[in-house]
Amino acid sequence: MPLDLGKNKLLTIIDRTLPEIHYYNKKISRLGMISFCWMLKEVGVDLIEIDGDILKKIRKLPFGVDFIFRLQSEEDVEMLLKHKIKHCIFDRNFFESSELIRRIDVVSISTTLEVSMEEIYELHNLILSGKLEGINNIRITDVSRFNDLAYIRAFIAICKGFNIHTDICPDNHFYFATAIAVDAVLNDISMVTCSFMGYGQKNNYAALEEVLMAVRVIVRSECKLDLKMLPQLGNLITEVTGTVIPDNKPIIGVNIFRYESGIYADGIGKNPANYELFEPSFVGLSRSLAIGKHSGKSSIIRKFNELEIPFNKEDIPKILSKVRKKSISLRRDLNDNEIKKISEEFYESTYSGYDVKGW
Amino acid sequence: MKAHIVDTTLRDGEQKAGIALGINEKVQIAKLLDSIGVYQIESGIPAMKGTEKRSIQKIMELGLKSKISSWNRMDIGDINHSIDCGVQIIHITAPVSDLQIVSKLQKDKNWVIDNMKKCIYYIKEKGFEVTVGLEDASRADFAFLLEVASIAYEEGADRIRYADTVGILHSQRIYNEIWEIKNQLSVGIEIHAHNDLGMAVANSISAVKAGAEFVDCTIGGIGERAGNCNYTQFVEASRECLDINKEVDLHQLNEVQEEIFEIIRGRKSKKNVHK
Repeated sequence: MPLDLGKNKLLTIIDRTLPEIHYYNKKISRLGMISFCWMLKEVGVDLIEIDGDILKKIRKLPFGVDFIFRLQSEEDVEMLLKHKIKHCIFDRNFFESSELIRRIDVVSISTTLEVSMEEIYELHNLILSGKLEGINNIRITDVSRFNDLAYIRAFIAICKGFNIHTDICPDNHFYFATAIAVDAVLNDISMVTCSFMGYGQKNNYAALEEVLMAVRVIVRSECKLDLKMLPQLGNLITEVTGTVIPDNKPIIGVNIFRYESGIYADGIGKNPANYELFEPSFVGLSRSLAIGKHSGKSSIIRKFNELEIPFNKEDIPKILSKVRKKSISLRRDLNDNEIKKISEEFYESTYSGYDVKGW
Repeated sequence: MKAHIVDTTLRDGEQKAGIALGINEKVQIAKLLDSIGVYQIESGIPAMKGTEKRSIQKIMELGLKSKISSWNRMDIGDINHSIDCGVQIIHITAPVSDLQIVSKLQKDKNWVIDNMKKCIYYIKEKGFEVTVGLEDASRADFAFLLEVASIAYEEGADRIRYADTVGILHSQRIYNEIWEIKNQLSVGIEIHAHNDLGMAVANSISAVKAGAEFVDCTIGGIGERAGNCNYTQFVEASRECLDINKEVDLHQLNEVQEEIFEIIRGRKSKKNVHK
């Protein structure tokens, strides 16, 4: 179901991860594909793009999930009709050279013409002359610059007059793809195509998880989204493609809610919203406190309480100093055993001759 | 149009949980950053004392071409540690969102303004350049943000840092806000963008288009949570979209980036790319 952005605006999210996985000849099982489709639907994707090869592998499309099918041949048209798929997409070559399009009942099947940013100028004339009759949507690809949006806005206005919707598929050549998608949504575009982690050929796309969260945070906080499945989606992508998700990848990186710095920890302790845009649990992650060079006294106290290590408050500054030295020598944060050992050694040397264990 | 890069790998970057650099490592990284012509290196937080403070002092001894700055809370004690290090620029951070003022600082707006004025005066009296960070600017009431920026400028701040502390900005908005600040004040503006929604590079580019003259970056985009504006990505994007940084040797930049990653990982690098 399209995202409700309020004021009668809806946003359709289209995902094209599967064709990209397929393009790179990555092996994903039939069950893996079906599982992937279900998870995409769970997180808010309205249409999942597939092509003939993917459809042959899936064989039977899962009920309750909507697909947009890429037409590249007569066989594809047959499959579209046979599987009763309600949405299709094709490029200009297919549209202009094939009579097959005429077989599609545009009343019951939504048609999308895919063009690149360079082609939209030519399309103006085609739209105005009625040569795109039967086309419901136009997807614009290769959108990589903010300047492009100005032209697209003008194009959207023309399309609206002919009841054609615009789908934007930003390109991440200059690392702007998510930002372009967000700007487009704020300027009334009603369809956005992205892929999970922006995975794709050439320059990659807008990252689905970033676009979804940005819509929720920036555009409309009330829009219903459930992103808890994102970690499982990430695991599947890693398993199939070998792509390692960076630990600080926005929205899904496993360490984005791991914190250490004393000032930061203090702020989180008082109210996580001081430093977090959204709750970790919203995206299926959790918050964790690291102890290391940048820790402050209150983090040490918190950790000691968590590990049930007895301590005197006056000793914390000296213990903190030892923690920092150890962290620097190891070039990382410390694990629980190392923290316990520092405490034991400190109290044994400070209070040698006393039985300090478990006091 | 020009955008000076303020590299904060040794401060915000190092705050990424699990990174712990010693004196030698920070000195090596500072040299590498200097070798690629970074305008300013935010070297760390002297108020942490110990190894952190000594490393900043060592960096100052190098006599690098890059300007060296330090990060401070609005606290005279913090500032004194920076003065001990002899850095060229002392940065103080002033939370400007209602959330951070009330929840984090447990103070009020008047306290922020009064304390900021006190700190700016103190730093200027000691003869240092001062930059003021408007922390959590992107969640602040814009009128209050402008008020604080204006007061900071009147008190003698050399530059204002607009900090998108939680990465909530989008390009249209940062463009409008930076443009408005530049329209009202003649002060230099620095953008500090976090990458929580994957838009740090785009937001930084938009800020420069609106008139920001300084951009905070980190090597590899490392930093708290999803990190900061990625140095290499910003340079690549700015060459194309802003027609700047064309003189930057991307090959050398990538080599230096790799070298810095090796240092952070604690591996001895086989390369020796810095002068």
